[in-house]
Amino acid sequence: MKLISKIISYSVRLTLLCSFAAGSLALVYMKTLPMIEYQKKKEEIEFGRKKVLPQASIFKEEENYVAGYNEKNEIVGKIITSNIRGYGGNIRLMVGMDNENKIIGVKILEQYETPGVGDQILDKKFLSQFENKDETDINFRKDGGKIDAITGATISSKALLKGVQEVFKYVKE
Amino acid sequence: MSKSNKPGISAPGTAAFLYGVLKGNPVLVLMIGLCPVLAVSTSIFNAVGMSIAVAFVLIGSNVIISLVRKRTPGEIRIPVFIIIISTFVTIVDYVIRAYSPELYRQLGVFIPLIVVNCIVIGRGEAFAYKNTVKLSFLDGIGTSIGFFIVLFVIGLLRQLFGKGELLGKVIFSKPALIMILPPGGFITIGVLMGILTYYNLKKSKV
Repeated sequence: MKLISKIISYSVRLTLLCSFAAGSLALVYMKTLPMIEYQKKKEEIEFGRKKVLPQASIFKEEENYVAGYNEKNEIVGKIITSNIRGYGGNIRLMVGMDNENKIIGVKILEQYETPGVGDQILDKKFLSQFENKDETDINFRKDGGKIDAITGATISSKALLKGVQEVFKYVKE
Repeated sequence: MSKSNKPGISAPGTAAFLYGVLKGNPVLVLMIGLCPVLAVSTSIFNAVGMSIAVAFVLIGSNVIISLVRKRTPGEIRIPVFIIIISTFVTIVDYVIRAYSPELYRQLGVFIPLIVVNCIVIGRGEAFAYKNTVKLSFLDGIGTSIGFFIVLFVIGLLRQLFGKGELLGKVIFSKPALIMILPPGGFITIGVLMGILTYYNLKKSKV
């Protein structure tokens, strides 16, 4: 009997403490979330948009994509972000295209691939393959495209490829 | 661990405060929490950011642990400490991510790792669990200052010798790269440890 009351007493104490901790964390989370989202977006603009579409200097957010304009206010391309399931989690990527739907640059904004294996998709060598390619080129070599997959990281490579293909599908619509 | 009844120091508050700075300096005397010290002390910016994060967690958890200590039986004190500490660490994590992404990129994984920093749980177990809120608060501040001073000095030295620049000014044109790498951290900590031990020994002889 004594043991049982001890167990109950400890459980109650720990439960109380945990709920208190969870409550305060929820509060802080709610308060900081808009700011974190804002910082994420800012980073995306500063490090992402200018990298995948260097010709553009002004970016205008349209409904589902971002249009890039140069100094003369001419439209030079568009940027589309896409989400795809990778090996270790979600991969968020950003594709910049010119007006002829040719890829200017691809940038990965978020990925959880295996360090050292799948995360080789971040390598310049791999990503630069996508530059200056149009829709028909975006496929693995054996399927008639011009992209080489990373040895040992087929799933991650495929995921990225699919993400880019998805962007093309989206552009067509 | 409280040195409140040591001769020579009258007020327990002052003793609790000073203990963490000199006699019980977490890094140089107790030699705990070395992992973040080595990892993030490559520049002053990182050192200051890390110290503030640790100070917030340390002071906060010391106060809360001291508050709940009478309602915390010995058997469950460690889980209780961990919950309290990790709550504070998560708060710090969110706040840094929201307001200083630059610092977040630099410190990266070492922010969540404050949870397992021996300094924080060490002070909770050795001091806050046995002392009043006021004393625990002072102990937290003192230990944080001790941690800050060490991290700041190491960061300064490593930045100066390893990157050759200070406050944006180039001082050495050919910096010793080793100072930025882990060995430089060990060397700097070793030298500082020697100096403080010498000082503490000399003082205790008087």
